[in-house]
Amino acid sequence: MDPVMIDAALEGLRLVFSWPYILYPLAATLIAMLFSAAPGLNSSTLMALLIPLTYAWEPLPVMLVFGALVGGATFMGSATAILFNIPGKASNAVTLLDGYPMTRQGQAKTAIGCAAAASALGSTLGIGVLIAMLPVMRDAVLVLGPPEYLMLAIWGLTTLAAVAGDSLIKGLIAAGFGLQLAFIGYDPRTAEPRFTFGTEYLQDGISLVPVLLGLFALAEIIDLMVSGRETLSGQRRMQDLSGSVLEGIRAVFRNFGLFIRSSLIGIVIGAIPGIGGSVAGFVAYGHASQTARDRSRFGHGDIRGLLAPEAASDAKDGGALVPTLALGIPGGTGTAMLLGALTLHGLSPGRELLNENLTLVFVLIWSLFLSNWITSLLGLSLVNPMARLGTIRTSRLIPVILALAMIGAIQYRGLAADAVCAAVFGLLGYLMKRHHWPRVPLVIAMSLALLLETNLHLTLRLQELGRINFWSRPVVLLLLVLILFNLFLPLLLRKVRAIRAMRRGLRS
Amino acid sequence: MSGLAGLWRHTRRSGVTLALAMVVVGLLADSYSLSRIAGWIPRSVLAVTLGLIVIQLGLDVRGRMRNTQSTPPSGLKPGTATLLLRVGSITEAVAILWVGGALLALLLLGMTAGSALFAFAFLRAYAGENWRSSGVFALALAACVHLVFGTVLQATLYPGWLWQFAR
Amino acid sequence: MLFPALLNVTAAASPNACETLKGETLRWIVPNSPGGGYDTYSRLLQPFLAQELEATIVVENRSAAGGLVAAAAIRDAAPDGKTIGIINAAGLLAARLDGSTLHPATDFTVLARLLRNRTVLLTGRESGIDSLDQLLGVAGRRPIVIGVRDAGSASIVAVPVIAELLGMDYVLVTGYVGNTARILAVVRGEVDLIVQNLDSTRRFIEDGTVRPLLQVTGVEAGGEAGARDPIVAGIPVLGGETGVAQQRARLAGRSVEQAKKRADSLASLVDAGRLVVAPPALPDQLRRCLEVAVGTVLRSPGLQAAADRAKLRIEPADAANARADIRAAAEALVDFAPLVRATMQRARQ
Repeated sequence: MDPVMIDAALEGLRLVFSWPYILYPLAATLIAMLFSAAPGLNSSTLMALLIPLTYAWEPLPVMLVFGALVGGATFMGSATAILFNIPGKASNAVTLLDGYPMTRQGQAKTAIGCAAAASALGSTLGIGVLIAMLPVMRDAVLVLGPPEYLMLAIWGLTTLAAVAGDSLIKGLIAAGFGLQLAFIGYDPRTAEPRFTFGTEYLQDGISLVPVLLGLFALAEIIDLMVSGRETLSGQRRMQDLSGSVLEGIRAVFRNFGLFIRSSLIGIVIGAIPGIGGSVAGFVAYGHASQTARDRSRFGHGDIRGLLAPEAASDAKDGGALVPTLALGIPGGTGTAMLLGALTLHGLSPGRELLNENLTLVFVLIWSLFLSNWITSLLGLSLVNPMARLGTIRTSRLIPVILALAMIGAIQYRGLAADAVCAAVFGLLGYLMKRHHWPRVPLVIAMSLALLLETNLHLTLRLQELGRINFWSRPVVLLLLVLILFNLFLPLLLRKVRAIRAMRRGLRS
Repeated sequence: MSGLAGLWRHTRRSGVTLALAMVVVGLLADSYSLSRIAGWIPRSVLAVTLGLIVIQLGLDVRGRMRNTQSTPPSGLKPGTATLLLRVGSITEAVAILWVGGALLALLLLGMTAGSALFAFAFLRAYAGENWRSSGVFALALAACVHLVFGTVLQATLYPGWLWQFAR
Repeated sequence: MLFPALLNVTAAASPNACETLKGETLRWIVPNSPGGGYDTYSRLLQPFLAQELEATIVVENRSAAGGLVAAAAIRDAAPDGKTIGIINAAGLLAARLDGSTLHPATDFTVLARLLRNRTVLLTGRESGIDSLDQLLGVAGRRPIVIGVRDAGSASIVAVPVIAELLGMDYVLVTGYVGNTARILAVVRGEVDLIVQNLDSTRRFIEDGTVRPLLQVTGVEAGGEAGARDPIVAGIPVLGGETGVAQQRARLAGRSVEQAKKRADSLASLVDAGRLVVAPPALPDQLRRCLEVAVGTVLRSPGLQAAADRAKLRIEPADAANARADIRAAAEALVDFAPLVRATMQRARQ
């Protein structure tokens, strides 16, 4: 690293931790935590609210505040997912798959501890990679084009087999249905309305958030009422809850390899412009269950299914800043909002900012770093009151969860019809659960669909025109190997184990 | 004839699969009105999905036929399982109706009043709590919704469809 | 409420405040996702307009269908002054060739024009194409590959007309949704050209990521202001008396007059601009007060200073002017309809 950069990094660090500037990321993080915990709202909403209020500010506080917000205290959204099966936003959806079952087993504390640790460490890794890449990130961003995006989408889809549960066919049907759901709305290439049946609501497309709230939170409410379960955790008293925060934190280190791989997945996917944060988490989840020796516990409270997506969706923030800082092209919604905010302050990211205001860039990065750690540490201090919620009578929790889920659905896009959509998917989710249809493939496929479709179209078209050569792109070939690996690894492992067992049998 | 009737009886139980099949066929038909570029990817996905659904239906039916041969069906008595999407039991129907009720309350009365009304009705009628504790809880929930979302987070809360007539 | 001490908005009583809207919450509908061009403009305007009207303004992003959904939402809202927003006049007009019935002048109450669009042809820094002449040289050997959003966007109107005027063969690649996707495409070199709004690509031109080759403006549309903008200094202009369209027509032995007329029509169409609108049938009193309020805000020195800092161009025009320009643009569209429809058709096969 060149000395100019080291100086800027140190100066940035000093500024973030100097008085009174440290108050800015602190205050911003606290408010962001509240926003992230409220379903349907997130730190992008908060950034939108803050833009007019920060008009008259100097660049430094602006960087401090928006740096803290771009990471967005995602962990708080994970907490509601773990506790109530309510994803605060799309990127928290995957957390509930194994997080909520842990709450039902009375292990909310372990789950929250693990999520907090994975989230703080994941974001740190993401920021580390971002800083390491600062000198070369422009080229790195340009290496990835439609063929690479396409292969990433396919790679994400190959993990579906691992999350399909008992029946691969049912999993694939659910995935097909999920892809189809995402195709509803305007076609991004021809501008034709697709599968809208003349309704105005469907022209906007079906948003992932109400689908998630329905499939998981509302379906769970029906299930809670049907099963007559007394409390979420099955326990009435705090002291009967098992698990501890420490156990959760330890889980991250016990599965350190998985943590690193998941974070890297998050960073790479975060760096792709125009993909929501949910994709990173889902792909990491699929990867975790795919590479696990025993995957029978996934979806039933396997801590690896919690730590992988948590690490990925927080590491993603560092990745999303790569194209944002390198080219002024946002990696996701959070960075898009950041870009808007910085532009209004005359600080638009790109080469100019990197060359002339490197210290400010580092202020942004360190503020994000600080914000992630504050969120996790504060979140941990709230573990006990949060875990206590699992011991409250479900009859009292149901109205609260129901209200939060419905409000979240409406609030996300400001469309009342989204509540109806959530209710429909609530019924579907319940029926799927009852009849042993896996729901995860549906949401993974839905979140990957447009990435897949757009880039399949672009790749074919550009190949046809001779503008790219699909087979001569190193990243494509690497991803191809990974895809084949994903598809055939389980088969291979089974064969190897069978041969080993046979040898052992022969020897004895 | 009895074979066909048997087949129908077995297929009928695959409610979710059948419903999905119908949706997919409908979408597949609709996809033919699209241009080539917009249509070919959804159409391929739908065709594959439909193929898988047919396989799944086959598996369902085969599984049931085997079951009926070995053990009598342990499910619902004949005559009760006539709903396509077997809602199954009264408990389930009640739970689904409550969710529908919550939706209706929120859409008609808005977020604050709707959640209060629903919470009150639910606690009083479903959970069997007394008037007072139901009322206090409902008011507390409404206050929280209003304070947290409306005041602190500055979100524009959906006002409710009915209120437009009140003005 | 948030950071009260640092809040710098002083709500001075304004003589223009519409009494009925005072204290109300207004929806401002944006045809963009957060961070997009129209969104940034909206966030810039939001506090100023809120102060002027003494109302709360909530920005609502409806990005689907290249802004058609947002426009329809404004058209269908109650005409009570509580729903306003931005529309892209050229985009709506282009969509009329594609089955949409939305008309930017008759389906809305136009309150003001924020600015005219300025359309430019851009290429990547490492494309090896430095000028329009070089581009035309390449076009002599093979068709030029042009990346666009979708088969219903305003650029699909511009591309075939420009190509015709330049006498250039081209192929379209659709599916680049969003400014940034197109910028990346042209920088990676997958496509040779993109057709962009100058204002949303200004910072990419400034830092050398992309290079402008041609301005799609005529004297009438781009005007003197267009010529003075340093960022496009020396970049050839398509329309006008000395425009490229005329030169190319002369070289090819086509009608010079016809070429000029067509280039100017195109400029008036694609530059029709970003309009601030309200639902149709807005009561007169509300319309007047909103027109005055929006006009006052657009011309206020505070907003100009904020816009300068953000490097966002604001060149306001009043409602009557904006409407007249849209009518001209709509007429221009009629001439291009057969060519554009054929292009749209081809982009879907």
